[in-house]
Amino acid sequence: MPIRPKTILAVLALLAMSSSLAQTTVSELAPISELAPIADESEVLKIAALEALMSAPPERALPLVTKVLNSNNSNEVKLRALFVLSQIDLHEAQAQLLHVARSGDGELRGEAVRMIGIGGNAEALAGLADLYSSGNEDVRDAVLEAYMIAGDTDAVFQIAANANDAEEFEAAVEMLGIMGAQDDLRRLRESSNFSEILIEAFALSGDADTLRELALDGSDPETQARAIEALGIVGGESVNATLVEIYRSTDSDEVREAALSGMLISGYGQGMLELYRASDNVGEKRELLEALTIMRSDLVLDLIDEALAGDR
Amino acid sequence: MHLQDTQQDLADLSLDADADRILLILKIIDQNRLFERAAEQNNSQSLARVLRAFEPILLRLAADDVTPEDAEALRAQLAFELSVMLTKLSRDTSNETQST
Repeated sequence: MPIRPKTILAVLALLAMSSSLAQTTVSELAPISELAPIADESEVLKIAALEALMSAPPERALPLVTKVLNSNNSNEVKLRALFVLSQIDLHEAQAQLLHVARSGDGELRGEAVRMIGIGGNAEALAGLADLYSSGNEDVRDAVLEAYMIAGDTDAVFQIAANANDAEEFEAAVEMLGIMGAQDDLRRLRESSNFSEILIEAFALSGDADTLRELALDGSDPETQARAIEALGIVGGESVNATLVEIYRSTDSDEVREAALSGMLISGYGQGMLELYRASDNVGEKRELLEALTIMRSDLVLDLIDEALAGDR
Repeated sequence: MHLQDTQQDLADLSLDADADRILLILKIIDQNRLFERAAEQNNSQSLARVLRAFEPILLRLAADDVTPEDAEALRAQLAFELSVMLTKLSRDTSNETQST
């Protein structure tokens, strides 16, 4: 039986409204109108009305939201109106979002860009390309975020592939990593100068295969070490086995250190414990013990006990 | 075993309110990703996009340097957007029921 969207949102709402999240107590959590940091009561009412507007048919809701955006309301109210606009499935609503994204003030502009991502309308998303080209860093970041929200990996890939400088390339590559766009990242690896940021993005995207390939390639020791550490971010049984194998088989201190860092990052205490027990080298045992202590593994207590008793 | 339990208790004691808050938010982010995947699998692309849009907000909430005022504003934004989505889904469900 499929999970109903409403059920998903209801559970999420409960989670998001947990007391610690807002640094308030449960008793303070109730209607948003009582909580929002808005001094003017009329604004509270307007925001509640905007929320209720969503129950109206789109054709009736659109002119009312438009009126809110064109009137002398605070940005707080207009920001909420933009979200409602993003949920109105009419071409005019998406066109209006694009208009605000092009001509609104800084805060509204950034939010309108985000809303175009949420709306997911292909035409409005295509309009973001021009905005990205002509925009400042804030606008470019907002456009990348909108593409992420819309799941438009191709648009982000195009930005990375045609980047004018390293900073622009890195921002787009990082976003591809967040989006889990493994194929696009592999294409970039083949077509562009290899960059450290690609390793981070492979890790973010969970691409253990590419990282393993880089981790076993000793032609560039620095890249190799970074790839080994990045494997730790991906984690998992297979990655952990690879890290232990790399640690055991290498003659390089740097590679061994990277493998240990990888295990530390992935939280693979069991592997460190096995390596500790298999080692006869006091220095190496000390390093492994320190690593286990850093990760606060329960296993460390047994080892401390053994080390103090001088058993192994 | 007792030592291990004590170690865990000490570790828990070292968590201050901020750490608790961050852990909770990270848990919510994890849940959010699960729900986002569920929405995609159920062909609810519009819901998946909204859930993806929540993540940057949640990450800002988890930031060390977020002020209580900013945190409250972000939470209010999140609550509003969730509420609007629930209203929209109720409307759509109601329309479907009426048309059948």
